[in-house]
Amino acid sequence: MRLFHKTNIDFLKIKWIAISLSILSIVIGTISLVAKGGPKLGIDFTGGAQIVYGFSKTPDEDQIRKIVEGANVNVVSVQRFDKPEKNQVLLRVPLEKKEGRDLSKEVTAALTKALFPEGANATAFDLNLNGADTLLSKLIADDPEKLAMRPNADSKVEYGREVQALIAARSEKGLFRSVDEAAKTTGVSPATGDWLKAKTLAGPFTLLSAENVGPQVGKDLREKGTWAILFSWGAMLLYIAWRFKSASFGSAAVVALIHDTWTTLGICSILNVEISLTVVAAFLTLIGYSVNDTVVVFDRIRENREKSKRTPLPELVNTSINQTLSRTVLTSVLTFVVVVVLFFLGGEVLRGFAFVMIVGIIVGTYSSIFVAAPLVVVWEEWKQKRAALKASAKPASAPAPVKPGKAAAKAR
Amino acid sequence: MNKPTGWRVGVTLAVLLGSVGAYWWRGHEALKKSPTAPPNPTISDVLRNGLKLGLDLRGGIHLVMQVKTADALRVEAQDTLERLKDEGGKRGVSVMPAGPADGTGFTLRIDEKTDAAKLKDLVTAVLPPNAWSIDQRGREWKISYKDSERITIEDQATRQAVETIRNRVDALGVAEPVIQRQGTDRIVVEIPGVDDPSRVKEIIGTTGLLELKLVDDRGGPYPTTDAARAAYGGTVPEDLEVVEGFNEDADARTRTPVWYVLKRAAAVTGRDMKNARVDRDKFNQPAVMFFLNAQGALKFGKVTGENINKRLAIVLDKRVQSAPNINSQIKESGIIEGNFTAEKADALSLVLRSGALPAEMIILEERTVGPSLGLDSIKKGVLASIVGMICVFIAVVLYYRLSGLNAVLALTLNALILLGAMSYINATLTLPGIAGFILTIGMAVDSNVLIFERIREEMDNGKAPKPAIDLGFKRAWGTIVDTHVTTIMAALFLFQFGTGPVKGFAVTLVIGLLASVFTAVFVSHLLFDLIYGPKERVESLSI
Repeated sequence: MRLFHKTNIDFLKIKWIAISLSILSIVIGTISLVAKGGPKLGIDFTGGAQIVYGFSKTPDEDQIRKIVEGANVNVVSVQRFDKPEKNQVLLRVPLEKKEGRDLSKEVTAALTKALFPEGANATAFDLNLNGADTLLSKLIADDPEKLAMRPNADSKVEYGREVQALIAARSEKGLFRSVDEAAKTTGVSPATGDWLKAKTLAGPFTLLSAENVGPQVGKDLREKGTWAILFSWGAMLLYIAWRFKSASFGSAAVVALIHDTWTTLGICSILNVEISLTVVAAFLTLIGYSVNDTVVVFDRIRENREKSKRTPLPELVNTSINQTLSRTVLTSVLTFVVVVVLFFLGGEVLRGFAFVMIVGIIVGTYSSIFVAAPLVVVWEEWKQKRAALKASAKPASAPAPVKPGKAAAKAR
Repeated sequence: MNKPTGWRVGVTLAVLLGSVGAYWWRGHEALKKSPTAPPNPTISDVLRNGLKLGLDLRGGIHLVMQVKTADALRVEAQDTLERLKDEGGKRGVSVMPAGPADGTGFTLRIDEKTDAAKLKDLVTAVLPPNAWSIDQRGREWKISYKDSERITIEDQATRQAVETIRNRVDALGVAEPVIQRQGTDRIVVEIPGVDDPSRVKEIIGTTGLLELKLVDDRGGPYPTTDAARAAYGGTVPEDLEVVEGFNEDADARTRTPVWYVLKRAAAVTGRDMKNARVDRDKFNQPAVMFFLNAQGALKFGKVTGENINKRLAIVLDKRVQSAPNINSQIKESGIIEGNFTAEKADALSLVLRSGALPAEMIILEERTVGPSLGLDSIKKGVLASIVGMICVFIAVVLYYRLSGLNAVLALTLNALILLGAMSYINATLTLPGIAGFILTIGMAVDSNVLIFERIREEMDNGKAPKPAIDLGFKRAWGTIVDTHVTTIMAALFLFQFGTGPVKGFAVTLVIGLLASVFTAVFVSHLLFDLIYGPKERVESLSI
């Protein structure tokens, strides 16, 4: 199968249209960025907290918001997370001015008090909120199997095994609907099962994840992320300028690179995509990918130039784009397919990452065909024109120096 | 066109076996170490344990904590001031602090009666000049840390905090915790598999400073701080302090805050502790029993012997836990009551055993992933990887036919090398790392595409199939190097920038891309040679 066989499309003919289109998209993106006060940063960069709970029944977001706000915790949003049948809720809490407030603990306590009053009692032990470690120490203390009486039994090992089984079962199910369900877990002894029924409770929700980023860490990550992107731009510029022994190639590649990054950032801003740590990772990958795409075309231009020195640059560039077209498109399509799969199957956490890659691959492919290589032509033509202008201007300006000081310096 | 030489086949097979073997070996090692491993591990058990999983996949807690080094500096300054006073007392020089010491040092007051020369002698004798600077400003001498000394104390405090936290985490008995210092005063703690953030934070973050202080004779406790001060006519004397505690009703389980007036100087501190364990108090409630070392027992015995029928406050982290009456002389042990639950008593005894933190800790960043979310992420990541790979394979075979199959073999080997190498260097697989794995497959195929397109071009230009293959590989090489250098450069910046999960992504990407140079160029060329090399004449290529 061949999709682009011996094509001879005149890409340079539309170079000004392409360049204008790119400028337009950059302007629109920038307007959105300015209007919204910068990209929408996630808590990794702004600081704040994000807590995900899993419920046994369909949760009521408004009720949850009221409960949490009633406990003196500000809430930015309460929204459903992941697939609806999983009954998960994502709570966002704004940045606290003071470091170190234990928000997940406070929110969990407030929810317990309101939704599961039995669990708020100091002696209550909620199987869905406590971890393996606490469960183990409580089991050892209460010792339902009377292991302390048996000479050869190590209660830490014996109960440890049962606790492992319980936590694994809970992870599989999401949470225990009742203590009876927990007691039936395979690997749990009848005595421990009875103890579970008598001494523990199964609350209506469980803490799935909690992230709390303080103001300092947020600021650090913001700075680190910005520097990483700027430095990688610089490194790319240096590498290409060195590899192609030409500033025009290097600059064109970096302009295309900045174009790709900025346009993608603009689209993220328009569509309200939140910038998290993994999204920044996607941006940096995109930087590598975008240059990668451009370099293939540039390599071919260099090769063709060595082969036929007489051919004018525009023709050379156009031939090179055409020759590499099928590779550019095929690779992009394959990578694109992969990130689309990631977008749909990779889960909530990777969705932002996959989205940036999807947009970036489209923009990057477009820019290496329509922007980067034509820019080299524009650049070189401009350089030639300037050289020609200088050459024609020199004899005229020499006899009549406008600035005597400079002319004198030159004469010396 | 080369004959498929034996050494090339050998190298390829060696890499294949090495990768699979490394993965297999790691899987076995991990199972051997794991306390919860099944007695007869199946193949899938081994496969599942070949890679170290990041916190986002296996669940666990990641904390970035800051040591409040100012605390340690203040304590050290206060100690130094006390020493100065002691030494002054011996020499008959009065030392008058203008206030309590702070994180920068302390200030002495000078009045008409002060013999400035003698005081100066005393200060220079007690305080090493390379650690302290003295700024004489009229009636106040400001004595402050020199930078080098401040840095040393901060460094010591952080190091001690790392040690203490390590002891505490080790006592939790979890596998493979990470406790790392970051910069001057930050500590990163990563504990995999722990699903109970509040307990972990309590154990790690509790300062655990135990002090036994005598309650002042005048009585108390008082319902408010003001009431406490009022009993002393507005301000308590310098050698006393007001400390919060609580009154407890054991039956109703209610607590009301009260304030005690205590002697500022502690009779015994946690530094003199030998051991601590959970015990029961007189109401059969969980409590913590502590044991003092010889030196502590001596001090404690003296104080309790001299103060029978007075009250002794047990102060933990600047809060009075209880203030029992001293009925008789006590030497080496005591009990801390505080209406604890079994878990709380257990945690407190652990904290006391591991020693006190040198300063208070604040949590700057916390990320907890529960085990069920991690499990879910793995399932999704594995599914996406498999579907993504299959899509790429189908597309490549459709487009390049037999040569496409060549690429599929190369990509499969690439994936195996990536897994084997990650397993061998003990790299951590994270959720973004899984994304990096999928992306590597998508990007590695680029090298194959570059080569195959070049071969097609050479054939279009009239080259015979065999030379076209060789030329295709040769001419694509320079471009392949360029594309890899750019992507790997970006990944290195990513590594530099990233925290845990993102670093995992960068590692995966770099290894995968490096492996793809080998598979797409070396192995793929070998496969072509194996197919077409032995034939005398090749009329056409399946490409």
